[in-house]
Amino acid sequence: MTTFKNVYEETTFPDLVKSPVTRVQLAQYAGASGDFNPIHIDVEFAKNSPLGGVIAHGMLSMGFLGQYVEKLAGEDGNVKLFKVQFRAMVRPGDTITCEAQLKELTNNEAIFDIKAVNQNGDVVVKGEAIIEQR
Amino acid sequence: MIDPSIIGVETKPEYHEVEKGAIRKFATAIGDDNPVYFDEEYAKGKGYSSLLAPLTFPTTFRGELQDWFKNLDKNRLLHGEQEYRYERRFCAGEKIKLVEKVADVYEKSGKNGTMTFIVRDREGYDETDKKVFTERSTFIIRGEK
Repeated sequence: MTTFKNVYEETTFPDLVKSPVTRVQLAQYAGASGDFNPIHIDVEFAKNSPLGGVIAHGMLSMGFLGQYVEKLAGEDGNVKLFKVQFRAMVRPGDTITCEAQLKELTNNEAIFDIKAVNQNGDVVVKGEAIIEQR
Repeated sequence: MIDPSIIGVETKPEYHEVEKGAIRKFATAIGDDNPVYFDEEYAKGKGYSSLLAPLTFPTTFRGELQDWFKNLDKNRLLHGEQEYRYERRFCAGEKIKLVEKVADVYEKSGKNGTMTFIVRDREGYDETDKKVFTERSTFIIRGEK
């Protein structure tokens, strides 16, 4: 019988490579999330700010990782905890890849270190996900 | 800058209806094509009552901004951390009661001056008043140079 533990012992989880972030996507995410901070969507405003240009919502990158964590949970797992730290800015044109490493595994719980990195290998978001047996 | 007496004070609850269209739009914006967010029959086949709300979906629950938040200098505001702790997942068609409080405020000194950390918790409850999730956000206010 395949147990919850077996699944995580025997499965390797490929990285999730997202399409490059676009300005349209930032507008879409602003609308969908209700976060209309002009630093994400107003090019003129952003250009004149200390950041010098539009940056992506940190929560969009967390959303990418959420998509990935849901894949890690799959059919057998239930996501109990999902937490991140925002480490670096993401700008339009950046390509984000989600990665995970199994940190701890018990009979009914798997703990992953997760991170989102950009095309230069910089960690933009890092955190942890705890998945319990469904 | 932040009155510490606000720590632990819960706001008046706000109610948010979880809509199918909002879930689809949110998943679309993230570029997440998991059918559990789009196809109700598929979601039901996975044991959910309707479309599943994505893990970070509670961020869409925008209520009235609290005064302390309105008064922050947005040019010095950073979103440091975000956390979701789920008792169970929730779905379209549910109504979530949201209660917010500032859990902690503290300062740290560094080479760029004093940074202020504000930890905000938002708890979601279902219609039977059982807790569904806790969202914890840590905001950082950079020091003035």
